[in-house]
Amino acid sequence: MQIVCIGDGVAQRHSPEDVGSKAANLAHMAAIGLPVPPAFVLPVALCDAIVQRDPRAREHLAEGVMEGISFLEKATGRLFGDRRRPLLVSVRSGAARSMPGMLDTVLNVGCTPAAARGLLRMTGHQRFACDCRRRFLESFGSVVLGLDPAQFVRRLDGMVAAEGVENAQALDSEALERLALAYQEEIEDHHLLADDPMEQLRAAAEAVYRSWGSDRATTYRKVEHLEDLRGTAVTVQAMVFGNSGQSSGAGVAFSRDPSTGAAEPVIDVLFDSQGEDVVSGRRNPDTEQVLARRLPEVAAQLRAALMRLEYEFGDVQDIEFTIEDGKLWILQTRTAKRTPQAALRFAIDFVKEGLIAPKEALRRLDGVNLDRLVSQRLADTGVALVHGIGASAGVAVGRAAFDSANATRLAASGEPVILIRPDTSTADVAGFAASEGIVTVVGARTAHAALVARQMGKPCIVGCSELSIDLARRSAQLSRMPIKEGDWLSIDGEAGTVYLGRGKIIEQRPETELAQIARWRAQPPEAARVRSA
Amino acid sequence: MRLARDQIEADLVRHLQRVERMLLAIVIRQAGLARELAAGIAQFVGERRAGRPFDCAAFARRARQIEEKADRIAIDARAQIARFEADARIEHLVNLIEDAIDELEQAAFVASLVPAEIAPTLLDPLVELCEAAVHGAEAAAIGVAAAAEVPEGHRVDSEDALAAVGRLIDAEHKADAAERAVTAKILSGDFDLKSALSVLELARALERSTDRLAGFGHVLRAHVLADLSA
Repeated sequence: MQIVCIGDGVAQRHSPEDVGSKAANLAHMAAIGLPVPPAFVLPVALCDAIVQRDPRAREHLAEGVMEGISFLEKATGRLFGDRRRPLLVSVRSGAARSMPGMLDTVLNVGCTPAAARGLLRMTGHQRFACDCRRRFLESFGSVVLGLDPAQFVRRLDGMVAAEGVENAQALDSEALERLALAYQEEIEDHHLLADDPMEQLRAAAEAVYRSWGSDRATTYRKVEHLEDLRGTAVTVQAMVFGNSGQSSGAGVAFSRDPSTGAAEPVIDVLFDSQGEDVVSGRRNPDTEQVLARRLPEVAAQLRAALMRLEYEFGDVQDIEFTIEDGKLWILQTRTAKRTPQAALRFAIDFVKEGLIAPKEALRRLDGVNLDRLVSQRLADTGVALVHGIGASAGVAVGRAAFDSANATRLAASGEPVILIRPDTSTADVAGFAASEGIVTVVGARTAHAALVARQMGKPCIVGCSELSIDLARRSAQLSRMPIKEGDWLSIDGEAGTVYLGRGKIIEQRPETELAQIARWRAQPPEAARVRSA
Repeated sequence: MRLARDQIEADLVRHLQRVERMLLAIVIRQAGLARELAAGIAQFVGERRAGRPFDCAAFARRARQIEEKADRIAIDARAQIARFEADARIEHLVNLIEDAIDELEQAAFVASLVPAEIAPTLLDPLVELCEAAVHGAEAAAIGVAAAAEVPEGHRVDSEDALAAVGRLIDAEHKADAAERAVTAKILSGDFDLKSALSVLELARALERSTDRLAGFGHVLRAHVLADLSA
């Protein structure tokens, strides 16, 4: 088996079929000189055999990991799990077609107690070192060892309450140190925790391969007709740290608005955080305006990178980035999932801007049912009770359901459903599929689950701080107005508004855009192949 | 007989090294809290200079909580030091970093009283002072982390520890110069009394914190040299 190395001057491109689309795009970005942390890839070809626990495949994996780590050590000048200058890595999935948030990722791998001391030794930043250690334990414990993530959340909530602070971000270094110890105890109650970084890495890589067979990944492939995919690759990348201070952060950005189709970037960033905090949908991030005020150079570089990537890949891009002490790193890029409305607008704008020919625009609209493409608005709703962030445009009217199981049950009885959840989790993918729309208390437009909602064409509103849910009592409050499961709600995913009651949906077809599509279709094939500018 | 005695001595040395490591880990914990306070003040200065809102009262409350926590840690450390009859220099390190934390908490308190309408330019010289305090706290943690490894006999650890001591002293020099720049700006300008006094007090508290950290550096150097000659 041969691993693929990315970054540190390696400019070779690779096929997504072999290394997954994430790694193929990473190699592409590195080749055009964008700032990409070095990485190596264990190929798709190994996935099936690892899932089947074939001992020879596990040997190949171990050899690949050894070779890859020595590449990363050379590229970064750090040593894996070292107590003085430690290299930590992320272990990410990546199939030939993107499956956002459906497969597993393990972060901060190699953060043993010795490496955590090494992080302190390198930076003098105790909070950062403890934060990396507790993040590693949470990620490794839940993904690799199969512990219930809720156990870690309980420990975290307990520490936040005991310290009398608002959230995990406000915990000081001493509290984070104790939290990391509590996480370790949580794990050691059930498992023997390996302190050998290579052993951690092998286990993490196998777990990521095995996530190919998880329920949510299988459901997603079925819903999205991706059953032909052969498996996932595993990308092991040198960690860059968005949680190393206030001039660091992590975020997700789209080169254009994937919800409305507007030709403006959408950027979400969380300072002093790691990427998982944004895409998990558990926190409300800051916007591009805040980034531009705090780190204007990074904001400008990010916009330039988005434009470059859109041009390079010829389509709207969805990127993950990290800022480490004021330096921008791009961790991944992929073609953005979009609502049908956005797909139509992108197609027309890209032709207008001379980026693609009408024929290509028509090809991109192949999967979109243009006859059913209507812009909708709500009427007879009264005043909005709750305002959140519109994450996926469109309107919906349905009965409230507070979890995926109830959403599926209600939908099966023929009732339209609005799924109301505390956060946007990809574990709710079945509930998304059954619902007409989704509303969450926290989360970002760029969270994985919001992205899936867009892809399914479901209106989605996130970050509704005036909404609270009591799952135990099966009740919720919309701006202090109590609601229960089965109550009618109306939502507008573009405006980010939620109404109590059964509003009327008024439909309007985007006639001008559809007329343009019809004209392209009527053109002789030769003319449709030519770019307009 | 001799073999048994050597064995006992080796066990004793290992035990003492473990105790010393445990005590130095407490000092690192204190340095971590010092950095939290210094970074918070730096954030306050950054936000105010940019004209953005900053919840000063909440920050001052949080700083107070951190300082109280640091006090408890110091009391516990002294008890452990007495119990194990550890090197007096470690107690000195605990005391000096506790003093630095007190000064930083005082600075956070003063920061909470800086008038909201203060001219952002008056805050400019404070940026370097905050940097010096953050870098000082970081150097203290790095120095102690490296010093804890010195008994294992790798030269790189003593070199790193002594380099961190150098950075602590540099930070104090930079803070001293920056504090003078603040004083000169205030005395040569035409500022209202409340603004001038609050900025001057803030600068002095920050400078005193770096002073304590420089003192910490001198004691740390003595500790490392003693370990090397042991």
